[in-house]
Amino acid sequence: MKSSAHRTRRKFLKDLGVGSAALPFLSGLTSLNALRADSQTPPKRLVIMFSPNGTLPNAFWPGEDAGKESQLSLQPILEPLAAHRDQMLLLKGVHNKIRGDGDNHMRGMSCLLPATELLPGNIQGGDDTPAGWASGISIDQEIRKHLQATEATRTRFGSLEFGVAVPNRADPWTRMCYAGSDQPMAPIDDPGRMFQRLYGGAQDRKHLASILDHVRKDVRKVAPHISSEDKAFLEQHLQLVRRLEQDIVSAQKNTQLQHPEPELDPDIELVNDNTPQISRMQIDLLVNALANDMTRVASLQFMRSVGQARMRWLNVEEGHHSLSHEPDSNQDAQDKLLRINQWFAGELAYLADQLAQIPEPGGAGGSLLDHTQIVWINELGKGNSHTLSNIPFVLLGGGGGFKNGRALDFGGVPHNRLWLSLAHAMGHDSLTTFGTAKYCIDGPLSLG
Amino acid sequence: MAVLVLSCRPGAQAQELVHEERFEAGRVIYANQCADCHGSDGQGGTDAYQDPLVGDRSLESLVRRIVRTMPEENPDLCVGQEASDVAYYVYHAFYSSEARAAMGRAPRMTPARLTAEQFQNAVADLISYFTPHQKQPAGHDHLLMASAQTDTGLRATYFQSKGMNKANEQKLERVDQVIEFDFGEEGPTSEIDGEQFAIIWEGGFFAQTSGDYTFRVTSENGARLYVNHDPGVQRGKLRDDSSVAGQAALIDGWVSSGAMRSMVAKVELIGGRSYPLRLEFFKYKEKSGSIRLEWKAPHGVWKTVQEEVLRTHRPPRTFVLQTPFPADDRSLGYERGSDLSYDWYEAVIQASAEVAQEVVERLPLLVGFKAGDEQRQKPIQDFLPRLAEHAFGRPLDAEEQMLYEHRLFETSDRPESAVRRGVMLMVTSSSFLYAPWGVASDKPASFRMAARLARLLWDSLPDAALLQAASEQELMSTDKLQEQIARMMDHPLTRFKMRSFFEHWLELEDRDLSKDASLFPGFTPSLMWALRQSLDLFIDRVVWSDTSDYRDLLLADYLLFSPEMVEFYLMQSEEGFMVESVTEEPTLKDWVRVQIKDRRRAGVLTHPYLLSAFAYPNSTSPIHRGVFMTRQVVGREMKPPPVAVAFNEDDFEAHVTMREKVTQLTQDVACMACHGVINALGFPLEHYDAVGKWRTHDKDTPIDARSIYETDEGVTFSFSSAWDVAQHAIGEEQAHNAFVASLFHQFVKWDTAAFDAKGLHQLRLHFQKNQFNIQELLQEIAHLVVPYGIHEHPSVSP
Repeated sequence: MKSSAHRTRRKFLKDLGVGSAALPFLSGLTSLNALRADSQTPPKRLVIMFSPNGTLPNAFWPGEDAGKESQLSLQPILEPLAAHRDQMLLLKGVHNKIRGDGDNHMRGMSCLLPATELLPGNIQGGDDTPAGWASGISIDQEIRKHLQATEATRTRFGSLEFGVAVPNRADPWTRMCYAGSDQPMAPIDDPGRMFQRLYGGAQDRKHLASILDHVRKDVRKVAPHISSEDKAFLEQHLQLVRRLEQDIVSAQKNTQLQHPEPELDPDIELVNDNTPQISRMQIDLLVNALANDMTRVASLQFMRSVGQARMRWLNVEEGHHSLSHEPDSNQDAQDKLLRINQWFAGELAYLADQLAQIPEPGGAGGSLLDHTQIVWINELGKGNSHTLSNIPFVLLGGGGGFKNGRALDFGGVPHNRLWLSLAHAMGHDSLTTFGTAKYCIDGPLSLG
Repeated sequence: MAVLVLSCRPGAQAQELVHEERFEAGRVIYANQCADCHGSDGQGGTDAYQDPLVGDRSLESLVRRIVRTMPEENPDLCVGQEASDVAYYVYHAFYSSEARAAMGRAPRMTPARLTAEQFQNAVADLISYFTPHQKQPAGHDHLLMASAQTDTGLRATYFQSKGMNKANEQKLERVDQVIEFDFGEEGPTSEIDGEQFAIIWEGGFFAQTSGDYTFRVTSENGARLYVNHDPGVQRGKLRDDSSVAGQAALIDGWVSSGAMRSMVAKVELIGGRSYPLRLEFFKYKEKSGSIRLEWKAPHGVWKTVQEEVLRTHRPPRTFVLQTPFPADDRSLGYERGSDLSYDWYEAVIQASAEVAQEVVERLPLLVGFKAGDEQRQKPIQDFLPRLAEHAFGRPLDAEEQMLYEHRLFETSDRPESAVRRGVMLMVTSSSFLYAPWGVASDKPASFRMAARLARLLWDSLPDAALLQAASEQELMSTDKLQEQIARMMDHPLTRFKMRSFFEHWLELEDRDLSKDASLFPGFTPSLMWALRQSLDLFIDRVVWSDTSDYRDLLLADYLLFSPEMVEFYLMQSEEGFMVESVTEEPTLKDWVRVQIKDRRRAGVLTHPYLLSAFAYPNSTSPIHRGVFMTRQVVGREMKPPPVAVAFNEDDFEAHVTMREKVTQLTQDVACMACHGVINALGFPLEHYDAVGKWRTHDKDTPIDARSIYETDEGVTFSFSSAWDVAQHAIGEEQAHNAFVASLFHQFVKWDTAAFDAKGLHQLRLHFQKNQFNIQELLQEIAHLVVPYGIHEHPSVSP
């Protein structure tokens, strides 16, 4: 801090992600991206949610008799989503066909959204060849790029990557979003950090407001030690405090977001046992960011591929990944995995509930959920077989304009085609191939 | 009429009887001959005489000046007894610092706040104080060691890996000085197979200056670099699939596709401190293995090796505040926390939130509990008042104790929220923010002295030993105070601050040394960086030697050279440096000490860094060099130029020498008032070209380095070399005053007269008496200012 020149205010704000906005503390958060109020066409939003270690097919897919298309009947894992059944689309027979270097967990994770091969590399998983990062952009980032290219669909952040209990290290098992080949993107799994990114120092401002009385008293306390000729200094200091008080009041008034930021405990520890609270905080923040149109693309990554979360809040002591390796005959493991997957479904339900409760701004009518496309993904079809076939894709919400309330079985198509459908549904309809081109030959899947 | 000059400032001489008749005679002369221009009581008049008549000259010196130069239109008008009387009047009425004090015009100690730099240091040390750390070996971490550094390099552990388990089998432990390895297909040693292996390097990184440090890791393999993390959290474990708990890598290149790449990241560090550094590396079945770690200091160049920055000892993390502060007032030449602007206050508020965030994040470490511990409330409640105590540098009163131990916790749902609010409160508190100099202080006397000491020497908070001494009232004893000062002198932060002083005194800040590459090929950024290192090293050598003699700074007949400097200055120069001898420099690998004959060099004055800094890109600049010598070296004051004259090379024919150009440009009488001095001090340096090499000719004309120099008092000297100038300066009272005042300003950040009207005078006498020992001068300054106004102190009781 020798000279302040090399570290300007602007730089600090950039580091916080607050952009060129005024100081978050006092000058407030003027609505950085208030919705274009006159807009008649509602925005389209995309949320990708990830949970790891495969599903339990018997407790997830509709029965054998469902055929290629059926009305959606919810199996046990999806029961928590009952309220949203009519806005759901279940896709069976969509495979992650990407092969090449890396084991199935790595490719399941890092090739899922990019839909292309891993680079050769130095990371050894299982007995397969070692591998590196994905060699292409992920679909969420491709859509982000498309939306950010046009003024009408551009938002402050473009996309936000949320994490829940993601371990602090960067490798192909922990990253699913890619800005491009060899460019993994780290999810933010600390609600405090995400909060700071979204709302600057609003939380700190609250803390400050709570101690202002003491701050004022403190300055007065020096008074007896100060000579009469130096009283001016003290008076000046007191004036600063008074101005601070006024600014805090007016900041609180003037920075009303269309949807006020959620209350959250900024000191929550990022430990395994707090995962349920952290998850809800992250979802609240995600919904708020969408509601305030800070972004239209978001991802929510639970743990990581091969995640070993110990979900004691579900009375499960074993690590998730170890359990997922147990044979189908282990009924205890099956029961626990059911609880685990139901819990993820419940988190998805909470996300959908929150979106459904907020009316779509502007004249379009409906709720945010009606204009948001959620996609729930998993790196494996089934934990103990490590298959990349039949990835349990769940589509939820009206953002894609798909015909919902159905279960479809595509019989084994590459998932690249699903990403094409998604891109087109999000308005990026010039996209003809995505990821590994040979898997795109038959074009987007028909979901209408 | 008896004129009593009364001083009511504490510490000043109580009374002084002034000779009435001389005073009155002088007053009349002043009113008739001087007041028109200088104002009725020396406050300054209009036009060229705006500056008030105040200064540090002795009465005798003032008399000589008046005789020689006043009144300006006819200096013969006021000589002899008249000059003596008017000088007497001027001196006692308003010129001397005593007179100013009596008139209430002396700089007064007013309340002040921490400067931005002090704030950053204080919050760093506040947290460091509670951070557990390994005991440091004694004598560690000096900026540059007087003796050979024995703990340089990083501790390296080499492993044979097995699949995901990178640290499968430890094979070797050693210290590596340079992290630059090309293993090819082989292992790093014969015992380690080359297919898969891993290495962890760990230790400390010493930041010599404050600012952004850039690190670069180049490898085709996996590597992660941590700088200023919380060391000790990672164990020896190194796996592909397990986490490094809670630590964010500065550079994460764990995953690689086998192609060579460089990864770069920046981190801000505060100078004078050591930071933890850890580099993890592994190779797994890639065709080849290699790794290089480089860094770039602020304004520096890329380096792989530099012995004084890598340490085998691993220090704890230091909190580096990121919140930017508005620049502090520097109108007096040193940073002062004199203004209370809202910009500054906003920065304080924002900084308080940042500090709170750091404390809350590291609470388990600082307090000593496991994350999520249900029993943590009590230890946290014990911790918060102690943190406040350290922030305030004094014991808490009952109300504060209640607030920090109970009230905040009662009004928060979680102990962490209480800590967050408590930290914000204490960092915005007057007890933390206000400087301990003024009479205004909430601290008991001994704690105020501790705070002053820490502020003076470190720009930071008292450490544990100092607080201990304060609580036992030890600082009240002159001996114990002396002991503390001596102890603190040895601290890296004192040395860092000393470097900052020299940066100011030698005007080194933001210097651009770049030269015209066609004229000076080989004068590269890397060489410029070496020059700066060489200058810093030389100054450290002089200042931190036993004699610490100011005169050596100006007269030393040796320089310290890097290999690059040897190549550029000794090998390529026709005349060389008139080298007496070249001996190995023990503190820095490959550096040498070059002993110079025949007074061809004179300490810092002819150091190539300064000679290059005070020169044009394509030629020397006797004016820049002369101004520097006038102000900083001989300590004369100068007015701004009366007329602006542009220096334009194109106005001169090709054969004209620099000396001729300057002479011609400044020949006007108005210019020569100052340039008579400037040129006389600049021309003797004409033997050194724009990069500081010795030269015998400028164009085709032999160098003429002679000059006639006239002092303020009209004594003339003839100079023909830099050495002559240096020899003259070290004998001049004015030069000593300038050096003493400058050191005082940079360390204390107050005017000397604010403490004691005779302070500067006393310090100069002390300096002269003690063989111009710089360390002793600084200690004497501490002695003068630390107990100032604290009446309980036996040595300063009125």
